[in-house]
Amino acid sequence: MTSRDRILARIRAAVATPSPAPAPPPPGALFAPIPETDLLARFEREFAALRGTLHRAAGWEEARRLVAGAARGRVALGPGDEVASATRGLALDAVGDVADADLGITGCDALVAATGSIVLTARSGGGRALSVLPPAHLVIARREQLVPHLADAFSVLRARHAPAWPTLMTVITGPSRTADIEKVLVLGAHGPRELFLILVD
Amino acid sequence: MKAADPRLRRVIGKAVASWGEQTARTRARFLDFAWGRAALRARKADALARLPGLLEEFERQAAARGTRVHWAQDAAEARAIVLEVARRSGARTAVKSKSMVTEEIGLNAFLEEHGIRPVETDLGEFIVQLRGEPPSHIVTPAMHLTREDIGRTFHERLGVPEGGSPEELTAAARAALRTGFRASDLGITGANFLVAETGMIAITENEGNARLVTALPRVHVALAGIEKVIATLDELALFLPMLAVSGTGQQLTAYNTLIGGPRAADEADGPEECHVVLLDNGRTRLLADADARETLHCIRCGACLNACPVFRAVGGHAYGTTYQGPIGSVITPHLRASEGFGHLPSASTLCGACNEVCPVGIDLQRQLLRGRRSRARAGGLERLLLRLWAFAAGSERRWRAALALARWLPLRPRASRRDLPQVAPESFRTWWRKRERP
Repeated sequence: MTSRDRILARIRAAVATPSPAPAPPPPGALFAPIPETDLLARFEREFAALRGTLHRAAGWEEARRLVAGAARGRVALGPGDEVASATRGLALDAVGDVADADLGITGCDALVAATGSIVLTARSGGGRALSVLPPAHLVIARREQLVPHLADAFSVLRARHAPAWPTLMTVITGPSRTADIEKVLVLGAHGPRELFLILVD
Repeated sequence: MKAADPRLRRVIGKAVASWGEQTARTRARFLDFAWGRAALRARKADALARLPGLLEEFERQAAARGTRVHWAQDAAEARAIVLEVARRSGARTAVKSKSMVTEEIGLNAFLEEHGIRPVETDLGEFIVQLRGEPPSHIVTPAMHLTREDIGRTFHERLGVPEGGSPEELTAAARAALRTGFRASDLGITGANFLVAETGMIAITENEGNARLVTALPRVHVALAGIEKVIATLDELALFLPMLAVSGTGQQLTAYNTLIGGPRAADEADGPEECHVVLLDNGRTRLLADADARETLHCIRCGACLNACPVFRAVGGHAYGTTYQGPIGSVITPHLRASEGFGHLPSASTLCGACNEVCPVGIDLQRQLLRGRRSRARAGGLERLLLRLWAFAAGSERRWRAALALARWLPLRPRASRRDLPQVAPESFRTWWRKRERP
């Protein structure tokens, strides 16, 4: 008998004695609904409170101007239409190895208004390291990618990827941070110290 | 272990006060925390009732995506699995993100004995590893230390100037660890959740070190208790904010990452191999006790530690366990049944503060009482002494005789964890009688 069989047998024997099931909760929610008209304002508020920097662009031309303004040093570019449209024709110092980059530029799968989060995957984020190894991360997103809650973002991921899920999906809520020393907030613990978002209408 | 230290008490007091403020502020922004708690309690109970099926589903889905799933009955088996993976990877060092299960099984010391250097990359874990200490808190491992303590450690071990601010100390740790992520062939993580539906592991963190540990090394091995499995991806939309608000007072931590196997053919990077070790190590004992089963709902947020007046007074090290505070006191006697941690449920005031903050609705107060009861049933010296006390206190004559006797007895037990107060040389009544007669 393998350890797997032994453990599963022990579990089966254990749960054969049921424990009293807790009453299912009445219909409810953890977060209050956010009206469609407040989505953007809520996201802006949450993202700023997390110390993210948001720029809004009326179109791709303005987005390119904003990228040119925000870009510094060597840049690693992720895949996707948004990144391509926002960097086309710009003279960026692009590097092949993410480890050499001062800035990573990626798209994303969704933005979450309630928590100011950016949801990306190994596909929209250009792999696993590009959005976390460089000291700064710039995200290009379209206004339609904004959803109210985390649950809605999971629905977007499901619609886009299931059942061929990417091997990395991550919900990014503000720049990298720690408070392990006396509960003092410090940004840029291991991931990016700066998080920029260009939101294209 | 020193349990009464005024300086420690101040350091912990400050940290838990800050946690309390942030948690209260964020909880107030949630529509209904109590609803969230009831919902999570129902989901965890359901997941445990269906545990065999969910674990098999997790294994099937993970394997379909190229993850190798291992099962470990105890700590020794889990350590051996990780060592085997490490040896085959050829790794000399392993970068680790925070994992209480690896603490539980003593993985670091074991890897070192076998010539593989484990490097903790979570800032708090990195600090306590440099000091050769165990974590004092399951979420905030260096909670017992001041910036001065950490500055001295970094000065001695990393050669940075003493007196650094938290920003400077964090930057020093970042710089010291940066190259390790790429230089290591092995990344070791825990898992906050196992998603049965998709065969993915979920990792909650703030620093980004877990993302680097799962991105850069060639091999990734994750360790998780069998109770971590949940049914569907969508449930995370509830679990993640409830974990974040309870653990650190955030709505969501900076990174909540789902890892579903090694790098896929169309992906830019990621490990070539991905392993998940599912650990029993006493958990099926808790599961078999239908009354104690709810303690497996725990998502290791650490809120009950912060809320506990006993934890606040003595700190995490005084428990001598991997899991401290109320949850540690109820699960450790089961997880380490042969090692005699049965006294831990007594380290509680039964004030109920832990119940109030638990995001998954574990009735910790009741579990602590159950722990005490089972210890009392087991008998022993405590029971004999309480019987004697009850007999003596049963009549005034016997009580006075007992006190008179106590004045003559050397009531200073050897190796006691605390001082027993001396019986006064004369009783209050005697003193009062003398005082009344001039």
